[in-house]
Amino acid sequence: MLSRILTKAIYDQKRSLIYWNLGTVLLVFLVMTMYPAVQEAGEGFNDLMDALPEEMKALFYGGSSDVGISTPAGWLNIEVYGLMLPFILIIYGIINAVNSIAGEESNGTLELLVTTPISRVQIAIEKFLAILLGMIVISSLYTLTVILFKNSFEMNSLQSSVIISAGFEVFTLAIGYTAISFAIGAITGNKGLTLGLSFLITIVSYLWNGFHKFLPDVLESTNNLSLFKYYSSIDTSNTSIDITELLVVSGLSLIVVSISIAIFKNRDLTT
Amino acid sequence: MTSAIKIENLTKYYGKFKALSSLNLEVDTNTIYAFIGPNGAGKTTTIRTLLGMLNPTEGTVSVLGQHPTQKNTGMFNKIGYLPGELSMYDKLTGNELLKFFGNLKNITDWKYVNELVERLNCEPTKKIKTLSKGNKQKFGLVLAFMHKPELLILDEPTSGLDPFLQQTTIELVQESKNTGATVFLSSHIFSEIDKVAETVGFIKEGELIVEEELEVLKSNAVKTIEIEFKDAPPATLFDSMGNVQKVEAENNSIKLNVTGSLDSVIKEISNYEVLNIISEEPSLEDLFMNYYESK
Repeated sequence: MLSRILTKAIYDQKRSLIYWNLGTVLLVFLVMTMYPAVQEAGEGFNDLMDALPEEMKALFYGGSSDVGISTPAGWLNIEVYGLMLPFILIIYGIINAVNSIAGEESNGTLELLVTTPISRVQIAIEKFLAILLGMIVISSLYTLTVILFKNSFEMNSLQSSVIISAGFEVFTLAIGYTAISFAIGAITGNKGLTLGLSFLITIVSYLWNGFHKFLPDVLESTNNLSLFKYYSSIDTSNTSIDITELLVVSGLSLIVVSISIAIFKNRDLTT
Repeated sequence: MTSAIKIENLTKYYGKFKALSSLNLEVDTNTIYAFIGPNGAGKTTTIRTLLGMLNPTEGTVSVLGQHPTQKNTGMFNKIGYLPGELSMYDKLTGNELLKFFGNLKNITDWKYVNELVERLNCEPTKKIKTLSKGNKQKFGLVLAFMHKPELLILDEPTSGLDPFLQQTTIELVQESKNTGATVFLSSHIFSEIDKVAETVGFIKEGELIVEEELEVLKSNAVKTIEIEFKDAPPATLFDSMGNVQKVEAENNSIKLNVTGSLDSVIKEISNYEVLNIISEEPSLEDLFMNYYESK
């Protein structure tokens, strides 16, 4: 029973998943190929980055302490792990979350689905699982790309455990925003509203975390609400997966998704 | 006779808008019930409430003896549904679509599904997005009938179909009834309802204004008859009959509107030499329009 909606949801992602994976892997690979030249230029790049205010650095480096652009970790952070990869995975998650329930409801296809013997709860769970599977595939492939090619581009000093840990950091961050998006879709059933709100929340929380120090004192600690605060991209001091962070974010995501499914289970459909 | 559908005092609000108002409706098992009303009268709201897509604001709904809630999703194994606004997965081929929903509905008799595909002249190898409205509708019909449901809820089943396929659809409805199924049908095409419906319900602004067996409705309705006499009848003929209204009298012919039985009229004219009688049975459309305008 479980495999039918799950299989269909994976089938729906099939083509986009191939392109997202190709694009992400290619991006990571190209950035890695540039590293030997950057390393050679050395201090010049570091001076340029050092001139940036701390808040700007935090935006680009994703909260890692590895900010030296001429180090392998620093280069990968500023080019991909700091901003690009988290947003690639978040956007992938949001698009698929929007299309899962809100999309089907807005398109009218949910009407036939909910009049089969499958419960709304099962429909929602299987659709969410399919999104997670797609995100796991993307995260795994670019993590594998970095591990496989790091020695070819003078990044030998970067430990595989650090790269795996960073992959989990990106995945954990993206789960959070995907769960929020899925929940909005399951509660409202409105595709446009879900898409708009999801991106608004993601972008505001990213900028909020970056610029919170410019806010009045009373608001300064509000960046605790942003998931980006807990994201640390590639950090050479992180040689193991931050299980606590993964469990907290996953747990909170599970609660958000569960509440939204409970509402979806009993609410009127909008189509 | 047990009820396949029972709606009691169903009221549904969308915000402040009252879509259904204390609706009471009962569909006996193994009958064909036609649910008729103009756009916006509340037909689709009623159907979606029957299928658990909408919650009643007030009142109760029972389908095949169960309330259509998420606790009873197993009941959908026994229900075939065709939405009025059919949306299907455009990226799938017809075969993939049938396979997907067939699996969800635990289909075992795929031979019957293939028979339906052939009878309705479907194009199963083409992607749904390439099909015309009528060709998509055919797949909608296959999805509704494929698991041989006990109850069929069909909203505008012949929409977009050519006359041949309209006839095939009517035949499928009749065959389902013959094998014990109940059919709840909503349509704007009175001629097709006239062919199959046993009971009709007229809905207006969220209220059921008439619910009656079609034959009874017709026999009680105003019928127009034209009688041609050999010689001109007395001018006062029929004046004393309460159920008869003289519409037109010209030469030796009289045109009458008769409510209910024609028995008294036949007895009255038996005293005269009659050359011809033309009786027009009211169409379902006439009945609907009469009720709709009078309520």
